[in-house]
Amino acid sequence: MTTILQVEGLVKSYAGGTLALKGIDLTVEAGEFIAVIGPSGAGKSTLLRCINRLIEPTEGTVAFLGEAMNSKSKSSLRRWRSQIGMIFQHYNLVNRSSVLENVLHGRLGYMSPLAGVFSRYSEEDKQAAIALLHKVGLENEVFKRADELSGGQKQRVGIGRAIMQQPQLILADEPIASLDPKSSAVVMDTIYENCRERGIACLVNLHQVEVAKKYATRIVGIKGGAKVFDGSPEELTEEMIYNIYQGKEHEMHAQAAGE
Amino acid sequence: MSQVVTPHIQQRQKKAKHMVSLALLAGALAFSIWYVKFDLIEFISGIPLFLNFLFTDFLPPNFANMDSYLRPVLDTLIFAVVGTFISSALGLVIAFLMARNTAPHPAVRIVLRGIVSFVRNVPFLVWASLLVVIFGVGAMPGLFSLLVFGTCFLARVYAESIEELDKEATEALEASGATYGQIIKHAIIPQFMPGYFSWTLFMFEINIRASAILGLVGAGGIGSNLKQSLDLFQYSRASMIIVILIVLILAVEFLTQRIRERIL
Repeated sequence: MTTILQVEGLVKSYAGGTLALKGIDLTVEAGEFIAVIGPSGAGKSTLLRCINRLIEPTEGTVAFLGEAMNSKSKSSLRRWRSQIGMIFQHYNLVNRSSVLENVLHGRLGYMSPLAGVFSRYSEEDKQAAIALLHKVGLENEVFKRADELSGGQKQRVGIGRAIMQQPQLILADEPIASLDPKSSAVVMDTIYENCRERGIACLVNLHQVEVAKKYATRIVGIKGGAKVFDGSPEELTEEMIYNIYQGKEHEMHAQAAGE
Repeated sequence: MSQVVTPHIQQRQKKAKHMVSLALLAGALAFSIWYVKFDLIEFISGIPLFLNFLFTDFLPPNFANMDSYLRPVLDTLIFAVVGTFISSALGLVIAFLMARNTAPHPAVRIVLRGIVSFVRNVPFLVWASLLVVIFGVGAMPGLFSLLVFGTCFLARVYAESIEELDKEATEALEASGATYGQIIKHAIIPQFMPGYFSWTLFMFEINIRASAILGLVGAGGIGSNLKQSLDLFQYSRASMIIVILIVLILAVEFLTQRIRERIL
């Protein structure tokens, strides 16, 4: 198996002294579907954002496809990010643009800056985007404005956008935390199937343990900015779960809490 | 160490603060009346004189020579249209450079913010008067002052609405490797459109009013005719011009309202 991502000694401290990550080590192999679980405030979101450098880590290294990402240059950061898709809790779509445009945004990272500004998407990309929308069950919403969709539909657009990047890795930050149980199941299935079929490794933040156990090939438990568990779903004992969620037990099963 | 203050004492303190503020306000008012020698009796006794002036000298409006107003009305409208167009274009560029979330560098933002707030805080009639000194009496100083003031006004309000846009879409595009220009085009501009149109239409309304009074300082437009007729004691002409102004402003407001309903 090839290693997609190698995180070593990742530390993030925010101004004011809050230590969000206290030295995380994590390896992601090709095709893995890893669930990162832990209570809110454990540092899950910071971990994902340090990987694609939406947040600048304080210490530690992140190597993607064997290449350490230390360069501060904008073009190498851009190349790096274009190969990593991201799915967000709040979908993060451009609400006033069409569904199709939102999916095509996934190609921007590969286009010349100017071609991107003027939306010169190739015919191939447009066909691929439409095919992808069919695949995620949004064939009737292609030309609708993104804000006309329901939450579950919006998230499927978000998934389409991430897949459109033809990434090696997808980072999903609490993709179902704002959704009802039914939409959650559809969204998780969509992420899972697409990643499996295309051999995309996926790192998904979840706080629902059941969901994590259902999909993940491996589970990583984070508590207070440190990794406290890393193993197969079978190895995750009840005891360990209680340890991870100690003091925040009510969050383990939280569904659609609506923030 | 935290001091424990009982609710009772807190309430008394609050009351005392109220009393002091009221006393200060009353003092300020009394001083001002004394200082400007405000005379209510003079004001009230002036009302009949004013009414007399209004109905005998001012009214009815003089409808003669209507075509002589055509040119200044057109000038006024053109000032407002051209002023709004150019200042919205310039204001847009400046706004992107000075909005917190789109500024290419913090230094650019701070410098532009300083300049814009300085220019904006000088009333536009002061700009017009200054520009009349530089360019001479005529239409140009009027247009320039609308441009200077409008650009800075729009830059400020555009920048504020850009800063209020939600950052989520921007974050997603950033995460997919989009460039600065691509993010502005695909995430910022679509979301900013409603704000852009409503502020620009508002600017147009301000400009119509402003360009109507620019003439008072010799900067062209229908205000010039107003000043001229007042200076020559042609009050019925002056009232005609005021009627035209009111019609013009109402028409423009009606129009912008319709445009708003259509596009927003």
